Amino acid sequence: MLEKISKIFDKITNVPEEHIHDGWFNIKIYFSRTIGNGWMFLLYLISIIYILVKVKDKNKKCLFAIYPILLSFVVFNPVTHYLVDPILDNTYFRLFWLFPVGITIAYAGVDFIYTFSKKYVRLACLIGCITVVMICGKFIYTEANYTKVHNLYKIPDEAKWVTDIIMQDEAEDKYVLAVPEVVPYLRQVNSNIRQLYGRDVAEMYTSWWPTLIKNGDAQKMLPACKEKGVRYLVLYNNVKLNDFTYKYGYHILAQTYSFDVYKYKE
Amino acid sequence: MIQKALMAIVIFGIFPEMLGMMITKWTKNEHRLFLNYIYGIMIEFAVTEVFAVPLIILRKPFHILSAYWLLACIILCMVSIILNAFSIKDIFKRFIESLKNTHWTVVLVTILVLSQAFVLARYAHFDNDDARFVTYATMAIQQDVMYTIEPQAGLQEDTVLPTRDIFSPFPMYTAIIAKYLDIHPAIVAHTVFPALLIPIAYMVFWQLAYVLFGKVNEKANIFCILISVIYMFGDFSDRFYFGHLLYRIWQGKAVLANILIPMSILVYYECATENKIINWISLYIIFIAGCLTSQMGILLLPICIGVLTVVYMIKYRRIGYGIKSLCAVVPCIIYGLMYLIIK
Repeated sequence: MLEKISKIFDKITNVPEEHIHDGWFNIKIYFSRTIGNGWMFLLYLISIIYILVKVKDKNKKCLFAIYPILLSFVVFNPVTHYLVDPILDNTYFRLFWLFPVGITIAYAGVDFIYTFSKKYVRLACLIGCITVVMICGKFIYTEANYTKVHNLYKIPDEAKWVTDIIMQDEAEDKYVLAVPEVVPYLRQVNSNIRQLYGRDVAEMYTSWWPTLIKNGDAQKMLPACKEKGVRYLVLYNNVKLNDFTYKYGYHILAQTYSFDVYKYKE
Repeated sequence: MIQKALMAIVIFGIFPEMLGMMITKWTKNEHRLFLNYIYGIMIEFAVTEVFAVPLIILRKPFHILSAYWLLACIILCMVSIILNAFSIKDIFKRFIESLKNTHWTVVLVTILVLSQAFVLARYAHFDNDDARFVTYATMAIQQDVMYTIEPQAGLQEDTVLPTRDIFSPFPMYTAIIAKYLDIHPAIVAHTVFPALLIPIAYMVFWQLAYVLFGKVNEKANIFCILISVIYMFGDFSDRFYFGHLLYRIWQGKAVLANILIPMSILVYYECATENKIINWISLYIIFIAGCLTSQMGILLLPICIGVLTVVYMIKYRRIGYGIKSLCAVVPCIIYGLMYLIIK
């Protein structure tokens, strides 16, 4: 334990120079990916300037203007990046979450609206502020973000059907080799299902198992599955495996729109 | 069905209100119904964190955590009832009176918030991080284990606990709710939590605005209208937290970014301007709650409050703020050191 503490202390006090250069580069990359088109952050900057100039209350100025300025010295800092990025597992961009972007823009907006005394002017300003936000941002309710499904678990319907097929089968051992599209969902519904590979491997489409499944390479895939004791296969139904599945003892159990579910029968 | 409904009323209604009243009793705030609720949820998170981390390290089964959690909440509720017996009626009376003079802005905010909650409760957003988070909760319920089995493939019992997850066991809170509602954890995460946590986030925003705008309801309502539009048009980057509120709120990091960080800003603002001991105690509870939500909470909350402390220490020229902030940050320091040492 003392050794670990001294390693941490060493790391804090001795920052190698190449990490400073790399740190700036990485921070720039993270920041550019975080701000997207940059318009909302521009609105945020305008809000900070407005608060600095127009708002009289010093407590509010400290919160909305001075705090983000000081925070910038911490976040846009290669030393912070050097210390923190390994702890955050290369998700340094989450430090930008400390900037109260939405709250600041909304506060500046309300303060601006209430500089006018007449109600219809305030209403017009509110509509104006909303319009500006709509122009600067990107609408979130799109098909890319939301899908209609027919199960309460809110996983893809086919993944739910595959899980049901496997769980309703009488075999006790639920050891499964599945297509990458279905892998992240099976164990969310039933953790008694074990899988040959997990989501991390599924996301690397060039890794061994996903490649074999995608190519329908039955000659390599099926003997390995049998050897490992895999009970169920969930494969694409448009990839033909000919008679290989029967040769290795896997018989079709059920089908969904996109997948065939096989079960090993001794 | 009736039993589930009753448990839902207890867990999502009675517990948070009663727990929150232990804090709001000492604050001067007219709109205590929302504030009670927010503080109550923070206390539920804090209780989960306090019990979960040692039990996980000791590799105890999940049913022990759920039993301790329920016992702790019941005891704290009973203490709250004793402390607040005479003010419970007043709180509801004040809330009902405030509904009589409903401004059009209240109606608009309510429609916006409820529609955002409805969309996420009704539609699905697929995220592969759930392969870890939701599966931990499912394993807790179905196999009575906490972090001792690798979640993605489930192939073997881990001999080494996953250090990145055990100090921030938000899935265990999901599992506790799932156990007492007798609903599958995936349904709790993807359907129940959006309906609960999105309104809670807006309660925090409303409360923050109410304090910042000198306790003017109308300004707080307009603030909430603007902020809900900002979030609805916040999909400019999948790396920023706006989207996390509206399509991933069941994940601990989304709760941290959209509920806990704004809450800590609110409470710190009150600490700096009012400097009451109850505010500092609330901040301490929020830090423990923040540690539950995400490994990032252990790091981000101290940075946030650290910078705010420097700002207000300079403004008010009070070293006391620094000492009190340091005391509030102690849970993060403890969990952070444990993480670094065990890693």
